[in-house]
Amino acid sequence: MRRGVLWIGIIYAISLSALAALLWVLGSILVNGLPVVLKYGAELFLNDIPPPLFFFGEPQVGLAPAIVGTLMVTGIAFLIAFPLGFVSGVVIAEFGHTRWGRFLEDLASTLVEVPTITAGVAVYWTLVVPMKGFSALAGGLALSLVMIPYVALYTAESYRKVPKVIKEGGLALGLKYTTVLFKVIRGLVLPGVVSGALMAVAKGAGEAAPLLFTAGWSDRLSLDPFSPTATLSVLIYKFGFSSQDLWLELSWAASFILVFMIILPLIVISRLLVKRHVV
Amino acid sequence: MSSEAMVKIRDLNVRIKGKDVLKGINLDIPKNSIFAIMGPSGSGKSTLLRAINKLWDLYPDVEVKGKIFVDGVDVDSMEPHQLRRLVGMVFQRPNPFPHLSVFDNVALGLKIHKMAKDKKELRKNVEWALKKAYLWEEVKDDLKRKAHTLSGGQQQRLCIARAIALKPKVLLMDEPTSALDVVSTKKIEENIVSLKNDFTIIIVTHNPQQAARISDYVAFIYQGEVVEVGPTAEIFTRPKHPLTEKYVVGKV
Repeated sequence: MRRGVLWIGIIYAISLSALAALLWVLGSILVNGLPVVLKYGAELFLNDIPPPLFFFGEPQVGLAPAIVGTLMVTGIAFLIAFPLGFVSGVVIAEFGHTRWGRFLEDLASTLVEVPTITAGVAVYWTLVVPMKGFSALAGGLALSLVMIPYVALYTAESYRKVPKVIKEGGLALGLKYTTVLFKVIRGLVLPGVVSGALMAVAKGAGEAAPLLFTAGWSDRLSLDPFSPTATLSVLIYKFGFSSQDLWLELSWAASFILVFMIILPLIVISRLLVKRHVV
Repeated sequence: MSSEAMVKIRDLNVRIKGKDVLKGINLDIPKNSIFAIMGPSGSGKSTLLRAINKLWDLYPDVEVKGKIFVDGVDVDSMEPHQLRRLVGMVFQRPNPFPHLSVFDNVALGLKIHKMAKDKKELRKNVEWALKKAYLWEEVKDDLKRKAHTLSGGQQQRLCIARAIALKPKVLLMDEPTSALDVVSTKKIEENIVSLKNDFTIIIVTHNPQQAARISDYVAFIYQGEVVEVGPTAEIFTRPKHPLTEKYVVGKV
């Protein structure tokens, strides 16, 4: 009996320390980032990023190019990753017994584990070098490689969760297999699929490594997908070790925006969707 | 019997994962009758049923050989989804689309197959099917109710409604009451008997009393082979095969 209590105590202590680590990361972003966001307010979302050295007067302070860049790069990545990941996920779930289905599943499970910087390197040599320049498009493509397996595995999971008898019920009504998969059970798989898509976006939005060699950098706001762009994650990497106080501040502000205004909301919505998955 | 057969099965063999589950099945199922397939668990009854509407097509490790004719047409000359329009099915466990309403469960097939020209006709057909399935009175006040909130027996009657709404020629029923209580079973049995004027019903049951209560013809299947087939009264009162006799008194 005593031993049992001891073990439970140890398990609680270990899990508490894991929780503490998470709270420490989130807490330091909150404590350091929120004051900067409050200090500059709307300016952060409207102004360009200040240049490295400013000789005259007060610099304009802003993160707009990085915020827009993150949205654009992640958006491009999503547009590529969602259709490919979704179709792969359906194939994995419904044709998992075939060689092709098994191959896709192994591929997706492997890609999830591959260091994301390799996606950047691959896109650098196949797109950035031939096109002679960094671009939001190249960044999006690199991020899509990171996101595809997430979408695929979440999609596969939600299709697998639908009992076979439900699918057979649809087929027994003389419906085509594709009609059953994409129409009849749509309402059952949708929360899982959307949840996976949101998780993939959350994962992609936070990645810096694939963007270092692909999206490039720009202090100024650009909406051209063929031009280089800053992103929040790369800005954090670039400014996080700066000796300039202003850049350090911006790095914390970028962390706060990325984590508390983009990634965490996505994760929370994703979790809520999965919970709503009644049947 | 064969001249009026709605379903003809000729020399049907089914192998699952290399094991012979059905061996040389020949059956003629008369039009507008209730034809029971009875036998102990594992004898191949459900396997036979699922061969009729080609549900085995989805399973790569199942091999089906032989000929099946529905209303005189070789099922191999049809696409599986076309065949399943003619041959509806009710499963062992109620499997309505849980996320859809009662109305939509029945309306879905009608809509996709474009069987109603407008909303009014759709409603009429849904009501017809729900009445035929003896469910209308219990659900008519709330057709928007989600299917998964119904009781097991109601869900099964919803599945019957969903299948008959498409007016198939044949209705396959795979032990439709095995997951239900006595009261629900009784309702569904009455329902099945009332449906035979419109449909040819093939029902699988492991319960000989159920076969005796509701069917016109019975085939007794044992270890993948048809032991005996004939009118229900004859099979239960004067079985020719000693194994059938043992089975109907509950000794197999």
